[in-house]
Parts: sequence; structure tokens; C-alpha cells
Amino acid sequence: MTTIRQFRSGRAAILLLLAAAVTGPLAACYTLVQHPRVESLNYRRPEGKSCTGCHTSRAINDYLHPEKLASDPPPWDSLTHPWWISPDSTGGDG
Amino acid sequence: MSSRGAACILIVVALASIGPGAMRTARGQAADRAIEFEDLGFTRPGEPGVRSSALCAFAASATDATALVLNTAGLARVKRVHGGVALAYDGSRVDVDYGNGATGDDQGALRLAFAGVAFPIPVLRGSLVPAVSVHRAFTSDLAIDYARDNAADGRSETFEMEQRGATYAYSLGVGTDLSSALSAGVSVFGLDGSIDTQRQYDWQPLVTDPAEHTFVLEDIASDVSGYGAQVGMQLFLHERASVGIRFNTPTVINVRSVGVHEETRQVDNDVGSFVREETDVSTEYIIPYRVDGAIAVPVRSLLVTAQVSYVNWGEAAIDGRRILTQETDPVLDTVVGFGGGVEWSPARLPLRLRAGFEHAPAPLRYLQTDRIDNDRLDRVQVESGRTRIAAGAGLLLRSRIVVDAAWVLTSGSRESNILRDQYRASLVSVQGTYWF
Repeated sequence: MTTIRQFRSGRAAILLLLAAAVTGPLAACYTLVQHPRVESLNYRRPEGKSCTGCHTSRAINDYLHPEKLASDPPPWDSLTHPWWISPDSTGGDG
Repeated sequence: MSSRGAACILIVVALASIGPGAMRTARGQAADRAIEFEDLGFTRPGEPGVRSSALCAFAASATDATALVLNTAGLARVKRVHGGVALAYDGSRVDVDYGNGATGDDQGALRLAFAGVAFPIPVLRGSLVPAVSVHRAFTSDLAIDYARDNAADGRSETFEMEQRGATYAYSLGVGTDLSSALSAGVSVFGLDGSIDTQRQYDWQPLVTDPAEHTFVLEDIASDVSGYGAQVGMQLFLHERASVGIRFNTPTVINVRSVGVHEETRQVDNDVGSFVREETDVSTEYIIPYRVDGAIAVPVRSLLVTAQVSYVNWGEAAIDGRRILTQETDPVLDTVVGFGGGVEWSPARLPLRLRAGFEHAPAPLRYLQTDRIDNDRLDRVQVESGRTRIAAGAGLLLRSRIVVDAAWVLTSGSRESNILRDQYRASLVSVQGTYWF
């Protein structure tokens, strides 16, 4: 009984590891291959394209404010501001 | 190397680290050696994060390179390249009392606690953050000193042990945003360390006919190696609450000990003996998997966080054998600990103040009451558990340099029918981090 329980918990852990290890690199690869370079965009809309065509406004807003929890008040928020987004960038429409 | 190739390597190493701990269930005679988990420091993992040391909770609030060790998913919240180094002074004292007064010695050393860097890369869902680090995984400093009459073995004995050493973990991992509310991370680590142990003891029969006195000196140098892996997740339930879960796979630790055993026996009629033996022993320890779950809630200028940790020490093993008494009672048992802390960030001041509290029972349910023969386990009757209180501060300089400091005091006592031991430890750590 103990062996079966351990086997199941081991299998669950393996599946969890597999999911995490596969999804992370895939998300990164998709962006690097399919998406315009994020650094060059800096959230200015590319000609003839709109970020909102693919992303919801909520997602764009979340991305522009990745600290999410608002747990980093000034002046600590400077450490959580993404280096690839200009401090004066307001974003919003992708 | 492509990211898919790197992912394959991560998976293979992670699976290899799960196998031994999950599959080995045989019972054996390892019970008397259970104390080694505690003596070698395997029951007291290192504290790589100075901020998390003061908060006593980390799974939901680690947001810098230390997240590689504390919760890999927290790496996803790193948005700027940075590197940090932390030093820590560990001081500890174990007092042992066999009913004739407590004795013990102070131990302490200043060592590297953490050094690491993180490199955030923008991706579709936020960031992908690889990181590398080295941190002190275990500290093996220990001093034990006692004298007593051992009625069971019919002798009067003294025992002294001094041990110094540390084991470092070299970690490589990555965290990424999977969605606007969910991030995950995975890491692997290898262990490398050394431990020097000196044991000196002597005994005389309580009935002296003829008078005998035996002296033993053991000088042992140990090399430590091992490996393990971690998976982490952070979920933003709400803009005012996030949860973090960390899963550490079982850790496999190999200790190769090369030593000298010298035994001198004196007899009052001048007939004595001297024996010198060289020893070379390899032992495999399995530290069970560990799960930590935490919540972090910002309330105005405060960040409140709480954490629960779970380790089923009953799954610990030595050389593939679980540690059970002959009555199949586990010598080490499940530990559920809880802790939490508060961090205050005063408005417009580059200063943060924090404090925390943590409590967990010690894993050992039996004490090894004969350290010379290593053959007498006695069940713990009264235990206070291990309690930590901590305080710390962080200072931001020139918007790029963060200096954190923490002070932690840990204490606890246990009592069996034969002995009582009391553990006290203090930790002072300082970390400097540069944000590019």
C-alpha cells in the first residue's frame, strides 16, 4: 500500500515537473519566433498591427505593471520596473 | 544549446533526483544512525535570503535572485538584471544534560550564505528569467561535551565531539510568467562540501577489578556531494493577494568519510593495548521531499506573509533503508511548520523594516542517548519544538544598491527519560545586491 501511494505521488511529481519544464521554454520560444521583438516594440504599436488584436487590454495592462501586488511602493518600485520598458511609457493600446 | 535541449536536461536531472527517495522503502538497522541527519545539519537547511530570513516566510514573497532557491517561480517577478552576495555568521550551542548538569560548547563561523545573478528576458507573457547561484545548503558545525555514569553499560564515560563544515549548493534554474496571474519555475542543484569531525571519548568500568581505562580518538574528514531539484509556482489570486507553492524533490546526499580510529587501553597491572585503524566509509542519505505554501498580502505600506511547510521525515533513508525502530516506529517523523512575518516600507523612505516568527517540531522522535556505542534510542517525552524569532532591515542606495541585514534567534529543547538537550542558535546575515 505504501509503495503504491509513493509511486502515485512520485508520478504526480514527475507530471508536474514535465508540465513546468515544457511550458516555460515553449512560451519563450513562441515569443522569440513569432512575436515582434519586445525590446524594439516598447509598446509602440507596429504599423498595420495592433496588440489588442491578439491580447486583451487586461493582459496588456498586467504586462505593463508586472509587479501586480503593488507591494513595492516608491522608491522600491524602480527595482521591479522592467528594463525593456521605458519609464515614461504609458502603454495601454499595445 | 536550444531551450528545448536545456529543458530535456533539466527534466532528466530532476527525475533522477526523485527516484531514490520515492522507491526505497526497505527497513533496516539505520535507526541508531538517525541522529546523523541532525548532527550533519541536514535537518536545518541554509538561509540564502536575508530578507526571507527576517520574514520567516518566502514562497510567496521572494522576488530577487534568491528566488532560485526559495521559490523558483518568484524569479518571474525579477524585471531587472541583478546580482547579490550574502555573508552570514552562524553561532550555535547544544547543551546536553544526563541529569548531572548541562554541558556544551559554543560554535560559530562567518561564511558565504548566497551569491547569485538573474537575467530577465522579455517574453510574450511577461518575462523568462534564468538564474544561477551558489548558496550554503547545510552548516555542519557542532560541539558536544558531556560526562556521565552509564549504568546500562556499567561504566563511567566522557564524550567530546567537535565538528566543522559546510555544504554548498550550485543551482541553475528558470522562472517564467505563464499568464498575467500565474508564474512557474524549475531548478536543479548539485551539492559539494566538506566536514571535519573529531570525536574523543574514554570510559572506565564502574566496577574496577582490575582498573581499566580506555581512550579513543577518531579523526574523520568527509566529502559531501549530492543533487536535487525544485519546482515552484506563484499565483496572483487578487491584486492584493498572491500565493506561492514550492516543491523540493528528495535530496540525495553522498558522504564519503575517511578517518583514523585510535584506541588505547590501560590496565593497572601494566598490561594494555593500542590499536590504530584507518576507515573509509561511504553513506547515502536521502532527505525527503518538502512542500512549502505561502500567502502574501500587501496592506497599505505593509506586506504580510505567512507560510506552512511539510516534510515527511519518515521517508528519510540511510543507504536505502528507512529509519524505523524494531517496532517499526519511525525515528524521524513528519514535520509541519508554520511561520510568518511583516515588512514595513515607510512612504518615500528608501528603508524597509521587517520581523518574523516561525515554529516547527524537530524531526527526531527518539534521541541517541549513547553516542559512544551509538546503540541506545530513547523516545522524546517532552519537546518544545524549534522556535525562531527574526528581525531585519533593507536599505536602498542610489536606486541601484540594496543592503539587507537580518538577525535570527532559534531555540528549542527536548527531553527523554535519559537525557535533555537544549539547542540555541543565532544567525546574523548581510546581503548586498546591485540592480543594473
